[in-house]
Amino acid sequence: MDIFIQQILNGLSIASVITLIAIGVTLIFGLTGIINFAHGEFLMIGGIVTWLAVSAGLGFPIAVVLAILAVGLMGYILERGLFRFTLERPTNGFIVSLGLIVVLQHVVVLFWNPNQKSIPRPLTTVWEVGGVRIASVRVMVILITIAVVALSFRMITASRYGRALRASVEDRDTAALMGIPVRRYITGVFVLGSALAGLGGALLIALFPITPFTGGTMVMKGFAVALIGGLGNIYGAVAAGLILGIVEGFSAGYGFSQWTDAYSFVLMILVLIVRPHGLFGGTSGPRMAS
Amino acid sequence: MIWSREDLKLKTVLKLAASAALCLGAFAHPAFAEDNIVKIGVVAAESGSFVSAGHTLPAGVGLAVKQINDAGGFKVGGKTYKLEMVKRDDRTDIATAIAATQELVRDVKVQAIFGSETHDFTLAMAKITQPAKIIHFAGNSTLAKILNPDSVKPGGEDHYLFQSEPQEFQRSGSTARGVLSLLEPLLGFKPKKSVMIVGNDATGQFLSSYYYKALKAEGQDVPDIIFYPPDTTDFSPFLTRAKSLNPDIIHFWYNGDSTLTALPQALELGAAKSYFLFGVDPGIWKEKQLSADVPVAMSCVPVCWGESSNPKAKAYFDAYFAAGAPHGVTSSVSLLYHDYVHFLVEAWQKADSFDPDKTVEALLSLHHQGVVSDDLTFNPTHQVTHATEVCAAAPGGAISCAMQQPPAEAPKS
Amino acid sequence: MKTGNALRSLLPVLVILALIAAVPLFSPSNRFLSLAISAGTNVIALYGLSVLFGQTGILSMGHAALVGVGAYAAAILARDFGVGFWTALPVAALASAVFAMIVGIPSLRVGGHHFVIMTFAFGQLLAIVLTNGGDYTGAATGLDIAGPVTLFGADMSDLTRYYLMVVAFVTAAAVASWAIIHSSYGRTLRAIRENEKLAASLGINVGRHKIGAFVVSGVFAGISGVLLAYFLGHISPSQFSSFPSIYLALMVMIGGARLIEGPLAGGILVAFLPEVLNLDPVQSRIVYGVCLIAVIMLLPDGLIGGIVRALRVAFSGKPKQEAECDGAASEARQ
Repeated sequence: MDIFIQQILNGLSIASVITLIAIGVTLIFGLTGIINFAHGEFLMIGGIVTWLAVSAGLGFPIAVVLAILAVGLMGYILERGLFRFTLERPTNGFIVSLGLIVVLQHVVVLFWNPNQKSIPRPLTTVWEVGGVRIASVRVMVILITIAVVALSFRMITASRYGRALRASVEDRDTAALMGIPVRRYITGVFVLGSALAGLGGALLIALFPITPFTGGTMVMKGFAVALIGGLGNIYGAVAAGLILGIVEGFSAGYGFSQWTDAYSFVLMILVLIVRPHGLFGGTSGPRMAS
Repeated sequence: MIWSREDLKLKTVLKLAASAALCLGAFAHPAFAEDNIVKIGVVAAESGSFVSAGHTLPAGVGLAVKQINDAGGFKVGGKTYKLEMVKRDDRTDIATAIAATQELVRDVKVQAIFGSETHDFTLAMAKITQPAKIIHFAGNSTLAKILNPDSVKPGGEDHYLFQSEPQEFQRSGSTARGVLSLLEPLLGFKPKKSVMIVGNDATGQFLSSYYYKALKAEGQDVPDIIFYPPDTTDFSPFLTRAKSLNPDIIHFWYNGDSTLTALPQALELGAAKSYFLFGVDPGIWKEKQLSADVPVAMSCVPVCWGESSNPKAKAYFDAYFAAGAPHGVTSSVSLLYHDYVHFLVEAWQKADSFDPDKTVEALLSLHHQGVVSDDLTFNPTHQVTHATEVCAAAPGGAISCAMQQPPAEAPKS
Repeated sequence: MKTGNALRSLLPVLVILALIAAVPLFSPSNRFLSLAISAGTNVIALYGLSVLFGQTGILSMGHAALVGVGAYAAAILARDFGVGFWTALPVAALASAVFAMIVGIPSLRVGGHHFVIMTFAFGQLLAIVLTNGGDYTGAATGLDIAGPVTLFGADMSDLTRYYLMVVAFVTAAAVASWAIIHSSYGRTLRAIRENEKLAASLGINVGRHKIGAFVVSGVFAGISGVLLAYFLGHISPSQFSSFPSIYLALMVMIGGARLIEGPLAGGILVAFLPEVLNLDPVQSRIVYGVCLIAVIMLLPDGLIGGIVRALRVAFSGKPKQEAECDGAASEARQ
C-alpha cells in the first residue's frame, strides 16, 4: 500500500514539473499563436542561471528570482526582436524557434561545457511517513506550482487585463479596434510565459541535474499537455498535467517501463483526434478577421 | 532584347554552379606518403551527444602515439618509423562517421583505424575498413554479433577487425563477481536479491542481457530488469517499483550521466540496501563529492581512475590527464584504445612488415603487456580477455578496489 | 508559351545536376563523395517534402520517420525475403506511402499548428516502436543491410558509381517534382494552400488531396530510405527520430520549398556548410542556428527564392517594385 501511495506522490511530482512547462506553453501558444519550441531551452537557461547563482554563493531563493528575471528579460528581447515579426506567419515563428533551440543550446555549451550541472538540494529533509518517503524539496516544487497556477488563473480570468487578453484571442482585429493594445498584451503574455519557464528551470535543477540538452526532451511533453488540456486553458493544462504525470508514473512503476515516453504522445494524438480543442476546451490559437 | 531575363538568370546560375563545382572539387586531397611516417586514423565523437565517451579515443590514442614517438619510434624492415594520428570527428552522426572513414581509408590511406565507441557506427565503418584490408580496432563488446569463426578467418569479411573490449559475458561475469564480493562485507550479510535498472538504448539492451545471466550464475535472484527511456530525469517511479521488490542491491547499468542523476533519487527513496553503478569511476565519485549512507559499488571500463588496485593505472591516468584530457565519467574507456596502439606497433615489429595479413597473424600470436593487463591476447575470434576493476565505497567514504578475473565460460542460459 | 515557361523552369536544375554529375571528373576526395551521397538521399526526401509543404502548405515534422519506414522495409525485405535493392525500392515506397496515409488521416483532421505537432509525435512514436521492437526491428541496435547493389551486373559499391546513381535518382525526383508542380494536380494543391475554403467551394475535395499530398511525400521518402540504407549498411531508430525530421524541415525551408532548386540547395548547404566553414563544431552550430533564423526572417521563400529575387532585380533593369511584381506573377504560376 505504501508503494502505491509513493507512486502517486511520484506522479504528482512529475506532474508539477510538466505542468509548469505546459502553463507557459498554453499561455503563449494559446493566446499569441506563437509556437515556441525553444520553450524547453528557456527552461534550461533558467536552470543554468540558477546554477551559476548558487555556484557564486547566492542562496537558492535569490537564484530563483534571478532566473525568473533573466529568462523573462530574454523573452522580452526575443519577442520584440524576433517573434513579433512572425505573428502573421506562425509557421515561420516555429522555424525560428527551432533555430533558437540550436543557438541557445550551443551558446551554453560554448561558455560552459556540455556536462551535467547540478546544485546541492535546497531542502534536504526527507520525511518518512509509514514506509512512504516524502522529499521536502519535491513538496516545495508542488506547492510552488500550485501557487503559480492559482496566480496565473486569477490574472487571466478575473482581472481586467485577463478579459482584454481573451478578447484579443477571440478576434484580434476587433479587439484592436476597441482600443485594446493587442501587441503589448502579446508581449506581456510572452514575457509571462518565459518567466514561468525560468521558474520551472530553477525548480528543475533543484530536483535533478541538467545538461544543455535537457530542455529539448521536456518541451514535447509540455506541448502535449497544453494541447490535451486545451490551448489557453490553464485549468486544462493543470488537469492534463496531472493526468499525464500519474499515467507516466504508473506506467513506469507498474507497466512496461520502456514505453513510458510513448504514453504522452499516444494520449495527445488520441485527444487531438477525438476532441481537437482539447479535453477541457480551449482556443486553437488567435484568429485574425480575414 | 538579345538576352531575356530568363536567359540571363540561366547564365548566372551556370556560372555559380560551375564555380561551386570547382570549389567542391577542391576537396580532393591527394594522399602523399611521407617518408617514415605511419598514419593511424581515429574516428570518434568529439562533439554531439556521445562526446563523453568519444573524446577519450583521440586522447588515449594520442598519448600512445606520443609515447612511441618520444621513445624514438619503431623499426620495421630495417627502417625507423614514427606514428601520426589522424583524427576525425564523427559528430555523433552516422553519415559523418562514414564520410570520415571513407576519407581516412581512401584519401589519407591510414594503416589502421581506431573507433568508434558508438557501436552501430562501428558496424557501418567495418563495411568500409574490411574490404580495404585496414586493421580496425573498436572497443565495442557488441562486435560479438559479427565476429565468429567464419567471419574472421582469412578471406572472411571481418578478418581485419579486432574487439578491444572483453567479450561481454566475461566483462559481465567479472563485474558481477566483483560487485557481490565487495558489497558483502560492507553489507554484513550475503546479498540475495538484485534488481537491474537499465537505459533502453542499444548498449543498455545488449549489456543487460549478459549481466542478468551473470548475476543468475552467481546465485542471485533477479526479479526484474527495469528499462527506462534514455533521457529520463525523474527516476522515482522506476525506483519505487524496484523498492517494492525489496532488493539487496540495485544495479544501475549505463549510462554514467543517467546513473548519477538517479542515485540521489534512489538514496532519497531508500530504494535498496546497496547500489552498484556501472561505468562510474571513483575519480568522478570523489570529484563530485558524492556520498551515501549505504554501500555503493562502482565498476570501470576496464580500470579505474581516482583509485585503483592496478599499479600501472595511476601512472597512465596521470599522463593522460596531464596531456589535457578532461576528467570524465568514462575516461577509463581511453584504455581500450591506448594499449592497442602499442599492441599494434609490437605486431608490426614482429611481422617486420605492414602487410595486413602478416599483421593479423602477428596480432593473433602475441601476448602484449599493457596497462589494462599484463597478458593481453586475442582469442581466435579476435576478442581479448582481461580483468575488470570493481570498487566499492563504504558509507563512511573509504573506497577499496579489486581486479576481478573473468569467468572461463559463458553461463548456461 | 506555358509549356515553354514550364520547361524553362526545369532547365536550371538540370544544368546544375549535370554539373554535379561531372564532379567525379575533378577527382574529388572520398570524403566529399561520401557526404554528397548522404546529402543526395536527403535531397530526394526533400523533394517529397516540398510537394507537401511548398505546394500544399502543410508542414510535416515527421518526414524522417517516413524515410525510416522505407529504410527498415528495405532491411527487413533483404533479411527475411532475400529481396535486393531494385525490388525493395517500389515496395519500400509503398510502405512509406501507406504509413503516410495512416498518419495523415487523423493528423489532417486537426488544423494547422496542431498538424505539425501531431506529425512530430508520430515520428517519435515510430522511433520508440522500433527501439522496443525486439529482434524483428533489431531493437535499439538496428539492422544491417548486406548485399551489394548491382546495376546491369555492375557493382555499385564503388563510391563514384553510387554517387552517380544517387545523382540520377535526384534528377528523377526533381523532374517528378517539376511535373507535379506544372500539372493540374499541382495547381489544385496550390489552390488549397492559398485558400482552403475557396478551394472547397470550387468543388475540390480538400481532405483527399491533402492526404494524397502526404502520400506522395511518402513515396519520395521511401525511396530515399532505401538508398540511405544500402549506402550506410546499417540503420538504427535514432537516425529517423524527431531531430532528423526537424533537420529535413529546416533544409527545405532554408533552400526554399516552392522552387525546384530549393531542396537541392537546402540539402547541399546543410551537408557542406560545416565542412566549408570548418568551424569548431559548437561554433558552427551556433552560426547555423543564427543563419536559419536570419533566412527565415529575411527571406521567407528560402535562400533560392531570395537569390532569384535578387537576380531578377539585378538583371531586369526595371525599378525594384516592378521586378518583384514579375517575380510574384511567375511564382503564382508555380
